[in-house]
Amino acid sequence: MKLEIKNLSKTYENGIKALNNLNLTINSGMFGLLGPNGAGKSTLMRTIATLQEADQGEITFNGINVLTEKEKLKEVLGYLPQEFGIYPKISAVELLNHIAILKGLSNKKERKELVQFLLNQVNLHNFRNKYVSSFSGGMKQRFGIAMALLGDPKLIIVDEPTAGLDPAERVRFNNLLSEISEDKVVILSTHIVDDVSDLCSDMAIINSGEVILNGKPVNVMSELGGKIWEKIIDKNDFSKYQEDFHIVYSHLNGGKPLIHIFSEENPGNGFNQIEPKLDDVYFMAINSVSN
Amino acid sequence: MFKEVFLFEIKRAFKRPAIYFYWLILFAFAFFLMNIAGGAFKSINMNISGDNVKVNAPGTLDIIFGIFSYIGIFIMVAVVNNIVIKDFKYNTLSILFTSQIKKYQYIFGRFCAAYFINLAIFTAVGIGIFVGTQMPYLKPDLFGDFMWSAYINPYLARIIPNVLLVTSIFFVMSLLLRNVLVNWLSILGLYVLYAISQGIMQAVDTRTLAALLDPFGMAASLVVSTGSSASDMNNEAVSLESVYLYNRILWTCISFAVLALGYFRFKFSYILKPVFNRTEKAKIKTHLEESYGSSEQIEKPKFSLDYSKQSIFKMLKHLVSFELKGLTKNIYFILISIVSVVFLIVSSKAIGEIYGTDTYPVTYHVIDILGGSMSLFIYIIIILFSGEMIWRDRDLKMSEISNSLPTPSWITMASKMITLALAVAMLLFVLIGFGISYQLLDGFYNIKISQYFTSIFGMQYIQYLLFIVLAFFVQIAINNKYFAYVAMIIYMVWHSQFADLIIQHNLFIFRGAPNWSFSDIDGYGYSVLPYWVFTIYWTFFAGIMVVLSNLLWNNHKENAIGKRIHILKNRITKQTRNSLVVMLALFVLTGSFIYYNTNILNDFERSYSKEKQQVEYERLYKKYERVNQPKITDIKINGDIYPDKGKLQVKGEYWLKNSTDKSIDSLHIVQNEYIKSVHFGSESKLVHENNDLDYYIYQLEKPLIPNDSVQMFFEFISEPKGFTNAGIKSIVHKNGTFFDSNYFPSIGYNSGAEIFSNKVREKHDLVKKQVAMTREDEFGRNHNFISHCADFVTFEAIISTKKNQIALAPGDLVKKWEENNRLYFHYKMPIPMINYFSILSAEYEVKEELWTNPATGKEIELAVYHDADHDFNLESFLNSAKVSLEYYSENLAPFKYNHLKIVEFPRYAQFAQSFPGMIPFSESIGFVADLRDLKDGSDTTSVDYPFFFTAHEIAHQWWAHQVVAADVEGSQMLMESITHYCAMKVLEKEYGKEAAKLFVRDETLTYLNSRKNEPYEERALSKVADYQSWLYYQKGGVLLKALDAYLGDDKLMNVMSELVHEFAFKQEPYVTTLDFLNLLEKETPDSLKYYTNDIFNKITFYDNDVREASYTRNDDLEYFVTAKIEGEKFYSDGNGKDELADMNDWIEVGIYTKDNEEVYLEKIKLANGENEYQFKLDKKPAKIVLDPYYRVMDKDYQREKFDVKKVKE
Repeated sequence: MKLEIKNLSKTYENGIKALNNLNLTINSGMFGLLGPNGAGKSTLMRTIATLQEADQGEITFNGINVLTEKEKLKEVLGYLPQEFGIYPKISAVELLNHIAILKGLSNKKERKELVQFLLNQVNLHNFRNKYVSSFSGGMKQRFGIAMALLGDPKLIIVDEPTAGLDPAERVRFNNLLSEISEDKVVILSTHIVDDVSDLCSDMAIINSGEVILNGKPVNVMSELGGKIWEKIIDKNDFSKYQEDFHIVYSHLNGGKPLIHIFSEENPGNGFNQIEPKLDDVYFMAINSVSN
Repeated sequence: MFKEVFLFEIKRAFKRPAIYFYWLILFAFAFFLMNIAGGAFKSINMNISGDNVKVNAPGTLDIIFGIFSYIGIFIMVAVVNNIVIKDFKYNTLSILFTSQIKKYQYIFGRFCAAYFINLAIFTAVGIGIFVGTQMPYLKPDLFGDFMWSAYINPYLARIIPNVLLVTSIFFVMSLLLRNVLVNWLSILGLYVLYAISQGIMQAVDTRTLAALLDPFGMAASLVVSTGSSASDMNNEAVSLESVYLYNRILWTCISFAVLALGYFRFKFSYILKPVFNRTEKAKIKTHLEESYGSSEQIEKPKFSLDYSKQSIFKMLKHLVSFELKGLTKNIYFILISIVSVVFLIVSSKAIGEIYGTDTYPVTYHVIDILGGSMSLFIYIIIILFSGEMIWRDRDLKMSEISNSLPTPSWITMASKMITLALAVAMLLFVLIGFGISYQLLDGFYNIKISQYFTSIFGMQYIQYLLFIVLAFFVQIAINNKYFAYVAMIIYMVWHSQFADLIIQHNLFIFRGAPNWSFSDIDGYGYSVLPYWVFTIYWTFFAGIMVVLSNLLWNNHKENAIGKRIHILKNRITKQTRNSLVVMLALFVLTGSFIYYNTNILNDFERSYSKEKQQVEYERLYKKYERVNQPKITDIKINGDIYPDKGKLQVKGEYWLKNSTDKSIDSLHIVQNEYIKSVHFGSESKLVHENNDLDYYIYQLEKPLIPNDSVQMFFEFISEPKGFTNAGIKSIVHKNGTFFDSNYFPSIGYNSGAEIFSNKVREKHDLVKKQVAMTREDEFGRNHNFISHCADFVTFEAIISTKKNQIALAPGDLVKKWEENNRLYFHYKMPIPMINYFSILSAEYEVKEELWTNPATGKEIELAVYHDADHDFNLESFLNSAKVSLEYYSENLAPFKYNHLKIVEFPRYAQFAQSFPGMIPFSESIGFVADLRDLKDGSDTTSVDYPFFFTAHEIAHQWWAHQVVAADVEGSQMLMESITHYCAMKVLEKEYGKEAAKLFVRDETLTYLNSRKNEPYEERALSKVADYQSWLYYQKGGVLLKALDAYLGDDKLMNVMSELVHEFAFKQEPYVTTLDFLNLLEKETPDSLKYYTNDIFNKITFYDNDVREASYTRNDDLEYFVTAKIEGEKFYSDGNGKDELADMNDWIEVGIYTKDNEEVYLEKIKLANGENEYQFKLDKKPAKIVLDPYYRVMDKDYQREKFDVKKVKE
C-alpha cells in the first residue's frame, strides 16, 4: 500500500504557487505532514482527495491514478477536511447511515452494525441520537473521523484535525487516530509538531509547495543528536546571540527567551546539550529553506 | 458612525462586479425595449401603448418604469441579501465596529446603503430608456420631444417608493429571520397582492380597494387614469392624485412601519453571535470518562461494499428520500405552498367573471388557473430550490466531505432533480385537492377528476420538468447562485414576453410548443399530438442539458473556467459521448420531423413576411377596389364535415348578377388555399393568377350585361396536413365545428386585408389608411357593412356530418336523412338574407320551446343546442328569447323567421353571433355562468349576462338582418349601438332600473378605459369606424339609453321602429346614420337639439360636481335642499385633447334618503361654473347625486354621493 506523488505542481489563478514540483512517497501507517500555514498542505490534501486539479505531475495510490481515476480512488478514500459543516437537524446515527449508503454499504444490517461500531469507536454512542450540529468541537472532529472511517478506506486524509481543540480533546482525538492506522495509509496534515512525533511513523515537512524533509521522526531527530543546545537568555541579548549562533528557534520560558541553537560542538557559554525534538528538526528545515 | 457603516457597505458593493452586472441587465432591457418599440428591427412590431401614443410619451414611460420597478424586485433580493446575510455570515461589521456602534447606526446605515445601491442600479432604467430613444436609426416620428418630467415623475412616483418598500421588506425580513428564503416569500406575497388587485380592478365596486391593495401602485395609477386619451398620455404621466396618491402614501408608510418593526425587534447581540447556529441548543459537553471509554475492543463488524447497479439505485433512492425530507420540511417551501393554495382559492373566486357574474367552477376553469397564474409559483419554487439544493452542501461547508464520497456525481445531481420534480408533483396534487374542494364547496358537483390528471400531469407537468432541467443547468453552468437566479428571471421574462414576438418558431424557443386547450365540448380537440411532438423534441434537448450539467457538476473546489473545462473534458467517457450523440440525433430527428410538418407540409410565415404580403396585396390590387363587379344573389352549399379526420369538403354554387349599369367582362375572385377550383357557367379564362395572394381575375368570353347573371361554381377542400407551428390547422373540430362564410370565395378587392396600423404602414411607405368611407360616398352607400360582394341573397345548404352530430346552418330544415352511415341536413332560407352565414356541427342536447307572437299569433320554435353538461342557464336563454322577441316584435317589427336556435360552440372563440334565426354562442360566455346568487336575490350587483347577450343577439335579427347599414362611417352605430340599446331596454324590462344602471356603469368604465388605445382618432358616434368597438358597443349603448331617458315616453323606440319600417331589407343605397338622425330630428324637441348633437356628432365630456348641499325643514315637514353645483363641459378632439365648451345643459339630479330611497329625480339646467338650486322634498334627504343613471359622459365613472347636511340655525 503506497501513495506516490511525482512532480506535482499547482498554481492558483492569483499567481500563488501552492505546489512546486513536489515528490513524495507514502507507505502504510501514519504519515505526518508538517508545514507552516500556507505551505501547500491543504492544497496537497485536497488534490489527493480528488477535490482539486493539479497543473502537472501524477499521483498514484495502489495502482489507481488519482488524478484521472477519481471515482475509483473515492472508493478507498476517507477524508476529513480542515473545516467542515454539518446538515442542520440531523442526528449522528442518521448522518452516518446516510454517508454509509453513499459509500456503498448497501446491506442494511451490515450498515447498522458498522455505524454502531464506529460510534462506539469514536465514543459517541451515547450521543447517537443528538443533532450533530449541537456537538462540541472535539466531538465533531471525532464524528468526522467516524465518517471518514465508514466503509473500508485504505487512504485516510486528515487535515489539521486538532486545530482549535482543547488539550484534553486533542489527546482524545490523537488516541483515536493512533488506533486506525493499521494497514492503511493515513496522512495527518498539521502544523502541530507534537502530534507528528506522538503519532507518526513517517513524516515530511513541506514549505512553499516543496518537500524539504522526509523521513522517520526517530531518524530525523537522531540526525541532530548532540547538536542541539539550549539556554535561557536575557531579552536584550537576543540579537547578540542571533549574530553569534545558529538559533533554531526560541520560545519564552517563564517570560524569558529560551533559545535552541544548532552546533556541531559544545558552544560553551552556558548552553546545555539536549535531546533533539521534532520541533528542532522542523525549525531547522523551515529556516534552512527560507534562509 | 452612521456614515462609516453606510460608506463601508457602499464601497464594498461597488467593488464587487455584481452591481455592475445588474445595472447592465436593466440597462440592456430598457435599451432594447426602446429599440424594438422604436422600429429598430424592421421585422418586429411592438406597441407599448396605442398607435397614437409616442414611444417616449410620458404616459408610456410611466408604465414602463412601473413595470421595471416590480420586475427588478429580483435584483433587489440579491443586493439586500449581499448586505444583510453575507455580513452575518462573515461577521465583517462586528469585527470593525463592535464596541462603539449604536443600534440605529448599524441598522439605518446598512439599510440606507442597501436602498442607495438599489436606487443606483435603477438609474439604469432611465439611462437605458434615454440612450435607447436617442439611437439615430430609430424612426423619429415615433418619438415625441424629450421631457425631463417623463423621467423624473416616474422616479418620484414609482421607482423611489417601490424600491423603498421592497428594500425595507427584504432588509427587515432577512435581518430578523436571517434567511434569504424569506425574501422569496415576500416577493410572492407582493405579487399575490399585485395579481389580486389587477383582478378585482375590473369590477367597479372593488376598484378603490384594488387601487389601495397594489403594493406597486400599478392598479392605482390605472384607476386614476381611467378615461385618459392618447393625447393625455403624450402630455403627461399619470398625475399623482386621489387613490394613486393615497396608495403611494399608504405603501410608503408601510415601508417605514416595516423598518420601525425591524428596528425594535432587532436585538443587537445578534451580530456578536454566530448567526447560522442560532437554532442550536447549548453545546453538549462530554465528560472526561466518556472519552476514554473505547477501551472495550470489539471486532470491527464484517461488511461488504457494493457499487453495482442495484446498490447505485439504492443510493439514488436513498438520496431522493433524504432530499425530499429536507425540502418538505423546509419552512419556506411549506410557506410558499400555503401562499399558492391561498392564491388558488382567491383566484378561483374570480374566475371568468363577466359583468360581475361568476362562472361555475367547471374543471377546465380551475385547471386554467393552475396552469396560468399558479404556474408562476411553481416556477419560482423551481428557480429558488434548485439553487438551494445545488448550493446546500457548499453553503453548509459539507461539500468537501460529500464530494469525497464514492457516490457517482450523476446520482447526486439526479437525486436533486428528481426531488424537485416530486415536490412539484406533490404541490400539484395538493392544489388539485384544493381545486376539487373549492368546486364542491361552491356546490358544483360535476367534477372531472380524470381531466385534472390528464391536463396537469399529462400536459402541463412536462413543462415544469423541462424548466427544472434548465434551472439546474443554469445554476451549474453559471456556478454563482444569485447570478443564476437573475439569469432564470431574465429567461422567464424573455420566454413569456419576447420569445414569441421575436423568434416566432417554436423550433427555436426552448419549451416552445403549440398551445393545447380543453373545451367541455371538444375535449382536447386536435391539440395533443403537436404539443407533444414539440415537447418531446425539447425533452431531448433537455436530455443534452442534463448530460452537460453532469459534466459541469461542481464536486470539487475549482471555480476557474479553464479548470472546469479541463475537468469536463476529463469526464467525457465513451458512455457520455454515446448518450450525447444519441440525444443529439433524436433531437435533430424530431426537429427535422417538426420542420417537415411546419415548413414543408405547411407554410410557416414569420409575421414580417405576412406583413409584406399584405403590402403587396394592397400595392397590386387596391386599384381594383371600386371596379364594377357583379354581386352574389344566390348561394347553394353542399358540404361534408368529417369530424374525425378534420376534413371539410364543400361544393358551392353562386349566381352573380350585374346590378350596375355597365357590362362587366372580368371577374375578380379572392380565394384561399382551400379553394381547389373555380369555374363559371359561361366561357371564361383565367387572365391573372396570383397564388401567393390568392387573387384571380377571370375574363368572361361574353361580358355580363346589366341585370344579367352568371353562375359560379367552386370546390373547397380543407384537410390538415401534419401540423403547423401553431398546432393542427383544421377548420373542422372533433366535436364543435364552427366556421363562417369568410372561408368561401369572395368577389373583388377586400380592404379588410390591408395593414391596419399606421405605424406599420409608414414602415412600408403606404399612405395612411382610410378607416371608413364617408356617409356621402356612393360606393360605400351601395355596399353593406358585412359583405361587398352581395346584397340580399337566397341561401340553401346541404350539410352532412358524422352520425352522432347535428349540423346546423341558417334557414329552415327542409329535410334530414341518413346515408352511408352519415347524417344529412338540408337547410333553406325562407327569405333572402345578408351574405354571411355559419355552419356548425357537434353532438348536442336540444332544449325546445314554442313561443307565440301575441300580435300575429305566429308560432316560433325556440331551441338551445347545448353540451350535455352545460344545462345550467337554459332557462335564462329561453326566457331572454321570449322577452326579447316579444319586445322587439311589438316595438320594431315582427320576427321574420320560423325558429330561433341558440347553438353552443367550443371556447376556442369567445363571442356570440347572430345569423338569421340562429345564434352561435361560445361555451365560455353564458353556458357556464353561475347565476345562482343572482336568481335567489343574494347578489344584486351583477348582471344576468347570458340573458343580456341573448337579448343583444336577438336584436340583431332586426338590426343587421332586417335593417342593414351601408359600409360607411357610423354603420356600427346602427348595427351595434342600437342593438346594445335594445338589449338594455329588455334587460331593464326584466330586471329593473337598477340592473340597467349597473350595466350602464360597467359599460361606461370599459369605454373610458379603452380610449387611450385608440390607434387612429376617436370619432363621434355617428361617424364611428368599424374597429372602434368600445365606441359603438359601450359608449353607443350607454348614450342611446341616455337619449331614451332624455326624450322620454318611448320616443326613441318609435324612431327605431320607423327606421325598421323604412329601411328593412333596403339595399343600394343602404341606410346610414344620416337617415337615423333625420328621423330622430323630428322626435327631438328644440331644447334637446344640443344634446343629440353632443352625443352623435361630438365627443363630449362633463365634469360636474356638487360643491355644497344642505337642507332645512319647515313645520309642515317639508324639506328644502339648497345645493351648489358646478358644471363643466368639454369637447374632445380625435386625439383626446379636451376643450372647454359653453354649457347650459340638462343634467339629472337624484336625491336619496338615508335608506337609499330615491325621493327626487329631475333634470336641472346647469350652466358653466357654480349654480345654486333649491329642491323641495317631503322626505328627509341624506345624499345628493348628479346624473345617477349615467345619462351623460363624465370621466369620473363613480357617481359620487354627496352628503346633504342640515343647516344649523
